Amino acid sequence: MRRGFLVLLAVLLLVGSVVTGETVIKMVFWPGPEAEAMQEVVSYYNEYISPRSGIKVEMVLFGREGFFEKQATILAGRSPEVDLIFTTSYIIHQHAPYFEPLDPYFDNPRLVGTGEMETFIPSVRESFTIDGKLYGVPTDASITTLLYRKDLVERIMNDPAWTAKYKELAQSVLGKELEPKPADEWNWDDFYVTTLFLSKEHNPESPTTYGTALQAKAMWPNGKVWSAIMRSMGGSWFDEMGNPTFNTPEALAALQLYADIMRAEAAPPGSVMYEYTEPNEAMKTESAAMIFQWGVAYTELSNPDASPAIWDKVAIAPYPAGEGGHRVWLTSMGVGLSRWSRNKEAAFEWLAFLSTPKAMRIYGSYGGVPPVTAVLEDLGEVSPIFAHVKEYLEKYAFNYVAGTETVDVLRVLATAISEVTALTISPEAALRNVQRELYYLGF
Amino acid sequence: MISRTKEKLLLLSPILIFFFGLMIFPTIYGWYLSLNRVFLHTFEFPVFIGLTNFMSVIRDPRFHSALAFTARFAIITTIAQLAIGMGLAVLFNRDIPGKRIFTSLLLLPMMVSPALIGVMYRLLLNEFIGPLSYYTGLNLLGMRYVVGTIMVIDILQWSPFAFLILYAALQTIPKSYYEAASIEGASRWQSFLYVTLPSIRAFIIMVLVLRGIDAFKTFDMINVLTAGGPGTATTTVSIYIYKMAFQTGNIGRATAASLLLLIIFSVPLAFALKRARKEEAE
Amino acid sequence: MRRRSIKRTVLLYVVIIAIVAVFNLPIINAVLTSFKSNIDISSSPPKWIFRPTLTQYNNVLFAYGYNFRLYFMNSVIISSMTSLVVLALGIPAAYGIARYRSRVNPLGLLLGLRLVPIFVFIIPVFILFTRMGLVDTRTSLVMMNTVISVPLGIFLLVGFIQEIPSSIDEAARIDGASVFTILTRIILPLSLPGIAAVVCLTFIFTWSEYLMSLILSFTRAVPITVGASFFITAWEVRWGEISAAITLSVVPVFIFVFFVQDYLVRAFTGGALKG
Repeated sequence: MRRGFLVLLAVLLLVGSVVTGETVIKMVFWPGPEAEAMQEVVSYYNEYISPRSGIKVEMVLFGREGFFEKQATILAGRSPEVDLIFTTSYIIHQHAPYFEPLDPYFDNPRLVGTGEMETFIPSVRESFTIDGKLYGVPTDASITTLLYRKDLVERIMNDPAWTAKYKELAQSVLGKELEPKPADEWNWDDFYVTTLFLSKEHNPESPTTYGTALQAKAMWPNGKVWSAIMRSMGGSWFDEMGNPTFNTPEALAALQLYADIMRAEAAPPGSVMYEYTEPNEAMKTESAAMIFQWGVAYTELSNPDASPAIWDKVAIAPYPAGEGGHRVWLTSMGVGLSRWSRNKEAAFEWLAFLSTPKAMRIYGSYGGVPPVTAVLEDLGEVSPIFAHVKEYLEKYAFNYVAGTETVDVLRVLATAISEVTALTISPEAALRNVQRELYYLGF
Repeated sequence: MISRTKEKLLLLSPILIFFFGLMIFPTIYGWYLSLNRVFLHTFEFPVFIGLTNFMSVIRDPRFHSALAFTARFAIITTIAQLAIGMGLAVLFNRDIPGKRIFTSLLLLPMMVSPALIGVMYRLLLNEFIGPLSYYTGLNLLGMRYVVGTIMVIDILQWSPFAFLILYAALQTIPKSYYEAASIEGASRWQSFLYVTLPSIRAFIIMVLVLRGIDAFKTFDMINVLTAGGPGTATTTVSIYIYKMAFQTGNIGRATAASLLLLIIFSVPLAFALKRARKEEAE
Repeated sequence: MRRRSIKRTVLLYVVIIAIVAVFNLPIINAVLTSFKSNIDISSSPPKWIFRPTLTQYNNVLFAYGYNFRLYFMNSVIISSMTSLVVLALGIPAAYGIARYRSRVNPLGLLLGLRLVPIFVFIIPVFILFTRMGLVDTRTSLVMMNTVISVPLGIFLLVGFIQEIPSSIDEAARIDGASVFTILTRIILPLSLPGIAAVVCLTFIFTWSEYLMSLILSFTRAVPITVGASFFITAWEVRWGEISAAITLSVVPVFIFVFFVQDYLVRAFTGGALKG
């Protein structure tokens, strides 16, 4: 019985692979809006360019659960099953040993066509370069931003009663004068007082229950959202010697902010289990007035069908400015060429097409955020998000990488953040643990 | 006529060949990895370091706390599942019109994978759109309740499994036993204590072994809901190993940790199994 | 007297329904959510009365690039094949263990394997299947599910075979029957209820297997559990669609269990079903 099944399967597989004469390139991609945008590029390629190139592109979508684990298994297991692997600026160091350096391919005029790496914003291109070698084509730039209710922030500025009350609150909390300001001119004091002001606990008139909602689940991606706060306050992951610097006053201030907000009941107590989704729901249900969130959420929160209560009231700003100025964390996303691919040149021809303004324009028109200046400028007229992204990318974007250990550093940070947010440990003690654990890991 | 030993070997050969063919390579590879310094990104170039990985795991305080938490989690949930399963079995062990449909409904939770159950509870416990937190007004995933919450979720999902075994067990007790007990003037409680329980001892051990093992391995439901947090408050050994393997990327040490687990538990497991078989044989 | 017994019956039903509802809370919620529009899902307070919509089901069943019917068929095939393979390997082994006493008990070792978190061995297993060209095939998933299910299967089958008086096969043996004949002509028919029970249990456990299939299947061999998890996208959980997928995956096993529950109950009694 089992043998029969095996034979049947083998026959099916054989038939399936013989029928098509084209080279099929399989590309793993990040499930969600980025994949929907990429699907349009893939469809365009398969319709208009495949007849010439003889190459068909097939997108392989995995769910987010176990996504990187699956890719790591494919790479470590040397599977030729897929040709192109999704990669990001924080994980590319782990992928690079299994990726083909792309420079020789870009230097090969026979393959490259009109594609060129110069299309992409230099900082984004840099994040895919290791030891001078390029390991991936970046197709998307994702940044953390402050998404906020502009109606409420404006009312604090324009409604005399609210303004007076705001000043009073500032005086009692910080012991100093504070003028209401627009969100993109905020420093961290402005943010903190506004957060309290828009919480019922401190201002019964507040239309929102909480000023903000924090992403503090013990999952490593949350380390990025917080690291941008630390950077804005003037902190850093490492000093010039590469030693971890989480024992600095800046790091402490950034973690203290989470603790203060939680203790002041200005964020939902459930924040300690939030990842990307929950803060959006806090905004949609008018429970929270502003959130630190990935820019991609703006599209959903400003969509009348998805967010009927707030779609016309939500606006975008960079993180407030501390000692380190406004800051946003940049994650570059893209694809790399697997060393185990059996169709490397064909796969590269598709990558070359991806590196054209044409492809990136299609990608941007369908909801992606291509890191290409000219394309972002053009699209800025279609959706305001692109104009902001371009500005933030040029002025505020940064990220940290710790080589192959980036994800692990983020894991350590996320553990500390969730502990502090749960108010079970002081920020000082949590950061001491972080330092100790990073030394233990060999930093 | 071939000898009995040979016959036994013949009978066991299909499964042995299957396991040997499929698992020998992964098993040897696993042991090999555990003796090497090897990361996800250096998978091609392992460096032999002897028992260092085992020593690091044994010395890691996070491993100890994960082990302690897992033991607590496994013991509490297994006992609760046994008790609830028993209660349900007694409740269902009578003529109820429509019992089939209720039994099927009761068994339903164990047919959904724990990961998806976790996702559905994430929605139920969502502070803004989840009914459970809306009506209780409690933050059930907050520090105060989170351990209790995940235990309750595990209990709700797997008590039906205990129920299934124990309900079956109750069917094996001849009615005459109870009749004898009632002639002797035993109360219901007494006949449960002195007739029911001793008769189904083997099944109770079966529940404890099967559920105990699986509870000790619990991974996806907790990982989906809490990712082992806040801090490391709900980190089971499986989550510890998972993070070690795929976030720290230290495959060698993760493999060592799981082999260590296997060694630690093979002794009590072997004992429990031997007992279960003996009970059943009686 | 009559009134009292009616009252008791009503009370019993209320209790049972309440219990069943509590246990199935996540599934009830999945069913409700699957009929809501996205706006109703993300509304606070939670809506109990809403205009039901089939949008989510439409997305699950017909959306571009999401092949739910394939995932469903994969689950059906993988679960049935696993049940058969477990029997093929398990019956002889169980007979061997039940009838030939020896000091070495492979059962403990097999059950011990259940303790190991599967993902630790997933890379070596993946390498093996890559070499065999079996990555992303149903065959590989059947094999791994067999590894997961066969220990419990043997454990239960041993119980059933021990119930069969050994005098029966001793008699056959004296008549000159081979082991194979004894197995197929005597043991197999006599332990049929046990076999049915093991099939049911294996089917259910394979149907809900997730972790290992998640790594070993890409597109062609994806089972329904992994397919449902595709709605956990990079950024958000698409509650409506994942609820619909979960609902669709639960209905068939529910019907299955409804019809086979007598065998399921028997799984653990080692054949000793008495009235």
